[in-house]
Amino acid sequence: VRSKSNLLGGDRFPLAVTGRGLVSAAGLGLESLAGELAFARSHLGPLSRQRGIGEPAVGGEVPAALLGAAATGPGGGRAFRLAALALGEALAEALGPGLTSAEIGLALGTALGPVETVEERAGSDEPLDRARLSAAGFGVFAANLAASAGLLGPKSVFSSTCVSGLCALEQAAADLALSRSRAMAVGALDTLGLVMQSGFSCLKALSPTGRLQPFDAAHDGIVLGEGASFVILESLRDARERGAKVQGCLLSQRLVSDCFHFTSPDPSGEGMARAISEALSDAGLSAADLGCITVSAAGSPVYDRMLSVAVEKALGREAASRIPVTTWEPAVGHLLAATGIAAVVHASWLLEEGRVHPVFNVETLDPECRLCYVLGSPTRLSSPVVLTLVVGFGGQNGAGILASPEAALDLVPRQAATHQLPPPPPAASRPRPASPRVQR
Amino acid sequence: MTECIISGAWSGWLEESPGRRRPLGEGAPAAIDPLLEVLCAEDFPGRWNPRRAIPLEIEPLALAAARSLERSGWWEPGSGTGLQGGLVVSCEGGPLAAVIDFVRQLSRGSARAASPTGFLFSLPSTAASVLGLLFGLPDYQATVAQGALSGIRALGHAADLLALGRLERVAVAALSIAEGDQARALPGNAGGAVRLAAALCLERVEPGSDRGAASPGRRVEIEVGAGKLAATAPPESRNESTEGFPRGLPQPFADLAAVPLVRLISWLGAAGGMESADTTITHRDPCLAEWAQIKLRKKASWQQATR
Repeated sequence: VRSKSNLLGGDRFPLAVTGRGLVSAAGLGLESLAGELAFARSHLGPLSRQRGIGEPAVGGEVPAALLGAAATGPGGGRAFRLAALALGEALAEALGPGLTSAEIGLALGTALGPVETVEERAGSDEPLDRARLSAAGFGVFAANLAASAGLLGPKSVFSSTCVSGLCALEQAAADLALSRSRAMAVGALDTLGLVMQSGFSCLKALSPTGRLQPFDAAHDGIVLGEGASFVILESLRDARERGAKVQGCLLSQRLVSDCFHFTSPDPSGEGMARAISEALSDAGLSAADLGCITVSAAGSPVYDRMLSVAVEKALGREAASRIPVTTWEPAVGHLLAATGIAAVVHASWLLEEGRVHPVFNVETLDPECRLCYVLGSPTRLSSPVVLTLVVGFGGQNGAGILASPEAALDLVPRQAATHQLPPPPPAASRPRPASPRVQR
Repeated sequence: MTECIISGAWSGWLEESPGRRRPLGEGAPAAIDPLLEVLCAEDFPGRWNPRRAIPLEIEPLALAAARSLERSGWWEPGSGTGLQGGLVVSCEGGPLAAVIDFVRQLSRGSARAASPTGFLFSLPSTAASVLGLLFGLPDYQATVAQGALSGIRALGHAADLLALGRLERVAVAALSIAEGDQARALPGNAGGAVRLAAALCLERVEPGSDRGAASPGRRVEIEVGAGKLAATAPPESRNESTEGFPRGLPQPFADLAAVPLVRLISWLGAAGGMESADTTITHRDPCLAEWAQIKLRKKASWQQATR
């Protein structure tokens, strides 16, 4: 018997998603992205804002009109508006009888956060004044964001490249498991500005053609986007008790570093394969339970191929050749740190839809990408369980499993036996989480 | 409180002067060693290219981690065996100087002017990546970037993962950099950055088990808490305590995120000779008007000195 609390969320397993927010080049809201995916429309185009040194200057920018309508906060620029929009959307879905914003904490991920503030001030030759620039710090950013939304629960900020949101999710799950908060807003964001675009260009990671073609024989590099993604997490028991609409249940997540290279993945796929295997094991599932796989696939040949190898390694060739694989990235570009939580949002939408949309911009598959990519027309989701795969610089490999509430409820008795979870207490005697006023 | 074993710990600091490095800290309390060693990439088991120098910015962190991992018994220098375990790194506020340098490179106008390294070192997570490449820590890896509270938050994150059984062992490392006016508060500083690093190796123990009573390392209970600076603020809310603080470092350095971990390591040294010991280390974030604290309690007897 494994440690009883090894489960994501501990005794509060499984964790329910009761709110979702997403801002990307496709606009605000899951529906905006969903529509573009359904009709295979891409929002990648010439960058209108400050360009980096990378050419072609193509990416997925959030529409200016949308940002203009967003609330600003102290020290808040573009990054703050993105985050505030997505967080606001997620809270609007989740809040209601039995849950107020004051009972929610914030776990945030970002690679560079409000870097635009630094970009603007660093353009001059003024001497470095760390104290003056501290207002651009991530901690202040998160505090302002939480205050703007009235979140009084614990706050944490992580910066782990494109898996930053998954680290935030890990802390949020711990905060829930340890009863520090009734619910957690977990989100991530990044903007597409001078440092990001130029940095990826310096690394020669950008697509020279400016086309994001995941898994295609012509895939030639990443096309960046920007955005923010948020989910509201709480225990499924709490969500059901208060009658909240549950958009999916997070059964497990594992983050594994392959320690291979600063920017390239381990081509053997060992790290990602381990993340997948551990995520399945934590959830008490096998490859046969998976209905589809959604992956962050930004057009990088080395990452596309690594994912193929890793999935085959973890699930076996037969399952890997059968489970439908899709991605949202051709529509809006690679969302940087927002990717990890965007994957959760995307997975929950796939569960709702009950079908898997095709990957677009694929003409001829790369022969080294051997998975069952959905091409041409949508396919039915054969099982309400979605595996999400997210990769990040520094050899980061994240795997998560989201299931429909019904599937999760079926699983709970099995997991309760394996992990010695306590039976759900009657509603009247159920202990309340500690007051969120004292932050962790 | 989370019960765990601190099987290795180390902290130190380094002042960088133009053209040379000036190690400081001589005569400092036992918990603080000067960073005198030159790191040799060949000593490390990971995939770090030994022909490549360990970046100066990260060197104090790498050294702190190396000393801590060695003392924990997780790593033997030169053994070539990769380590198992997670890694949580504290990086306060993001490496502003690196971002600014990179933007200035870009403002010179061409792709040739900017280097890939310049971009990579603008990312707060690069310090963790370097440690991963050096030591091969192939499990969970995260970077906490929460201003002056990053160090305590990193420890809290690691303690949570141990408490919940998400990890069996985890290294926590913190790097703080004082630059500009803050660095100039150090007597004789001519503008060079001052870097403070601390690292701890934590191992999970099942509550109620007797593990740790006879094994190397120090069994402790840890609790991390936080709150707003207000009427309920703890008395030392202005980071004025000098207990366990490196001698020679001026007061403006007390706000650095790595300081609470340095103080924790200092307490470990002092508590070794006591039958029972506990302490509370409180740290504030002057930008956020928030505080965080570590409560520590000695458990069982400690078999191996941990500095």
